[in-house]
Formats: sequence, structure tokens, C-alpha cells
Amino acid sequence: MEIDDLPYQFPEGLRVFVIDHDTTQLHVIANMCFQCNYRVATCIVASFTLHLLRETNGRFFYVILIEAQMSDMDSYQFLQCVTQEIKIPVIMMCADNTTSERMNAIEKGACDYWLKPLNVNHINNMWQQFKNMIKLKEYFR
Amino acid sequence: MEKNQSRMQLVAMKQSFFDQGLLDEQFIQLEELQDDVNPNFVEEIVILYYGDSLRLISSIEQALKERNLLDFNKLDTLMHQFTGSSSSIGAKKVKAECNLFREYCRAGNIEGCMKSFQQCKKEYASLRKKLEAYFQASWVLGGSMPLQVKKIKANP
Repeated sequence: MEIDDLPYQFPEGLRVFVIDHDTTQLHVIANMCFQCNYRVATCIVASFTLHLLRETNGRFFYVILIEAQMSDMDSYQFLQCVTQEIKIPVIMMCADNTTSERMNAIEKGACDYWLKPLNVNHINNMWQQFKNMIKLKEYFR
Repeated sequence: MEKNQSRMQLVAMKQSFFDQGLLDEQFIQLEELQDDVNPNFVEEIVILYYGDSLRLISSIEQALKERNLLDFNKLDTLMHQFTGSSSSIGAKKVKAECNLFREYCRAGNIEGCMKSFQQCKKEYASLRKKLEAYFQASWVLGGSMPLQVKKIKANP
């Protein structure tokens, strides 16, 4: 994604992909994103999402949010594939708060590791994660 | 005048849920997502939660039937999802029981698992009844009816 493609200064319209095998949690998180005027896609299956991202070269999404313990696929494998191939910021989220899990996620390329349940502050911060990644790309241009 | 009294009763009912430790701040987060566009959001999420988690609960029940050959990893994974779900609606006591279950799981304590799961189900059922009463009372007050006036189903 090119810097010049960025159409906005404001967080509105940030395109987010949320992946969680639990539909209750997915629904809550998606609604929090709507509140921030983000544009959200959701999926309960990580493998399909990966396929979709590969097919579209990650052109349509700016940030990905994924549950750390998905049932269809290892979330850390998903993380590695996305960060290596598609280069979109990935945030992991989990109901567990172990330091080792957090470190594991960051080491494997996650931008952040959020403890569930998420709140609106987390969602607002997605925009910040995205901006940081853009800054990094600018720096290395 | 009567409406004001009913409104106060509703507020008191909700406050009691917080005072008894049944719900936490996450429930308030959900309420803040409710607006004119989404007037029944909280109730919809609660209905979704009770619908979804039935499957999880029966999977856990199935797994616990193995008695002395419990697959603790599987149990922990199932309970991990149930914990996340419960915490996302602010079900504080249910979440606490889930965490206790997971501790017993990690310790390989069969007896502990059985007992805490019973507690889990008890808190889960009790919360459902209380929330049903709460939502019913808020309709009576003239809140909008949810699109699907679905009574939350009892456990089979």
C-alpha cells in the first residue's frame, strides 16, 4: 500500500479485519469498530481470511485483529504469514494475560497484544497502530 | 409518576447486578454502544451469547463425561472460549468460575473441574434469568422491542 493512497487525516474509514471464532465476541468488537466509523470485515475462520488476503494482496485492509487461539489454524502461523507476505499491521487479542504469550506474539511480528475483553480505547488505538506502521514505511523509503 | 418509579426500579435492578458482582464495566461498554441506530444492542448481544455458548457448554459436558480420562487440554481450550465470551458481555461471576475451572484444569484436578463447572452453569443460568427480567422490565417502560422477540431458551 502506498503512502500516497492514504485519503484521510482522520481515523474514519479505517478498514479493519477482525477474526475470532467466537461470534459473540466478534459481534461486540465489530460494533465497537462501527462506533469509531471504521469499515469492518469479520471472519470466524483464519485460514479463509489468509487466503483472501493473499488473493487481494492485502490491498483492502489496513489493520488486522485476530484472536490468539483460533480453532481452525495456529494464529501465530497466520501472524507470520501476514507480516512476511502481506505486511499489514496485525494485533493479537486474547483472554489470557501471560507474559510469555505476549512476548511470543511481539517476537513473531504482532504490533500489539491486547487483553480481552476489548474496550473502545483499544479500538481507537488501532488507528495509531496503523499510523505508526506508515511512519516506519516512510522512514525506510 | 408511575413511569418514574418504574424507571427508578429498573436503575436499582441494574445497580444490584453490579453490587452483587454479577456484572462488570464491560456491560457498561456494551450499553455505550447502544443508540438510536442500535437500540437493542445489549439485549441482542446477550441473546447471542446465551445461544452461542450452549454449544460450548454441551461440548464441555461431553468432555467431562470421560471421567478419569479427561482431556485437560481440550477442556482448557473450550473453557478459554467460554471465558472470553462471558467476559465480553461483562458476566463477572461466570468469568470468575471459568477461571477457577481453568486453574483446576491446569492442575489436572478432576474433582475440582467437575465442581467448578457445576458452579459455572449455576451462575450462567442465574444471570440469564436476571437479565431476562431486566430486559422485560425495560420493554414495559417503553423501550423499543427487539427485532426478534425471542425468549432466551432454557438449557436442554
